[in-house]
Amino acid sequence: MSKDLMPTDYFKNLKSKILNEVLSLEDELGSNAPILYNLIGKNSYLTPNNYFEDNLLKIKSFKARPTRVLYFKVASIAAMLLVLVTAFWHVTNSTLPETSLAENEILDYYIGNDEDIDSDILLEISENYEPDFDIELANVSDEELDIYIESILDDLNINDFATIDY
Amino acid sequence: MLSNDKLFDKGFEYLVNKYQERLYWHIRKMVHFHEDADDVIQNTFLKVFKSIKGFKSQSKLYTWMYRIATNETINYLNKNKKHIHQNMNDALNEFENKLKSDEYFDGDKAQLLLAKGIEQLPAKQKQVFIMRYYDDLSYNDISEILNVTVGSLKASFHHAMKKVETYLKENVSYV
Repeated sequence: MSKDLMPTDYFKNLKSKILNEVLSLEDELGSNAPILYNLIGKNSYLTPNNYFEDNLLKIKSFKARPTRVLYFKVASIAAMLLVLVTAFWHVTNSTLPETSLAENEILDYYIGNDEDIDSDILLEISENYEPDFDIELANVSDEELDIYIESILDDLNINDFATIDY
Repeated sequence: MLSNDKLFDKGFEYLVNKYQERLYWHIRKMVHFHEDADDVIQNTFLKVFKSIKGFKSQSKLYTWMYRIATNETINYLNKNKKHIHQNMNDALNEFENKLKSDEYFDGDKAQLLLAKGIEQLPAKQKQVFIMRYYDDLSYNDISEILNVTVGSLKASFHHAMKKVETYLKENVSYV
């Protein structure tokens, strides 16, 4: 198309084209949706008192307590507890009588009867315990955290912890 | 302000102050319940907080935040989808009962019906309808947020509007 030419009725259609761009919601609903038109602008949803003020404070605390890192820490503590109890069992199992109990049954016993665990031994184990992970949280991506947490949780049976009285 | 480490906290606070209500209401109209909206708005600002330094100014800041809020809402709704095999009527009745008993819902029968009418829309139409009807966003802004052409958005809104209006008309005797 030559630059001197333009589409047929260009100027005739220009007005409606521009008006179409600035069409308001009310115009659009117009006679097509009278019930919707009558309900515009009515808000029937409420929030708790001072919600937005409180929310600002909550959001500002992100730097101090990112959700995922907190979740990571909880999972790490759970994993560490399991390691400690397992280590305790390994240290003390020589004193146990020969039984046909499976390893997880013995572990269940200690988890369900934590008062039987000698706190001195547990303390000694925890002082010597070196976690096999060394992760700088700030450098860990969400995906890496997810994979790590899932790997911990896969190894855990949450029912094992249900009887622990914290 | 946000690109300067020293001013970052102030800048982020400003952003939250300026946009939290608008984003909250956008999310709330999608999820309906305050507790859900609260979860999603936290996730949205957490994501904004983590990625604001990578914001490239190619889009408007608020459309970028809207996009994050919309994606977070969709993810949240998908994660919490409980009744995949439930038929639409049962799902709508359950939704209605939950909304009626919600302490943070104060709508009359017409508002309740409107919420149900919107709830029955397919996800994409629901998004467009809420952005246009409740948030009063222009098609150009919605196009930037959802990365969909204006023509397609207009068609989506038109279909959604017709469906909701028909639903309201059919049930108007209950209003």
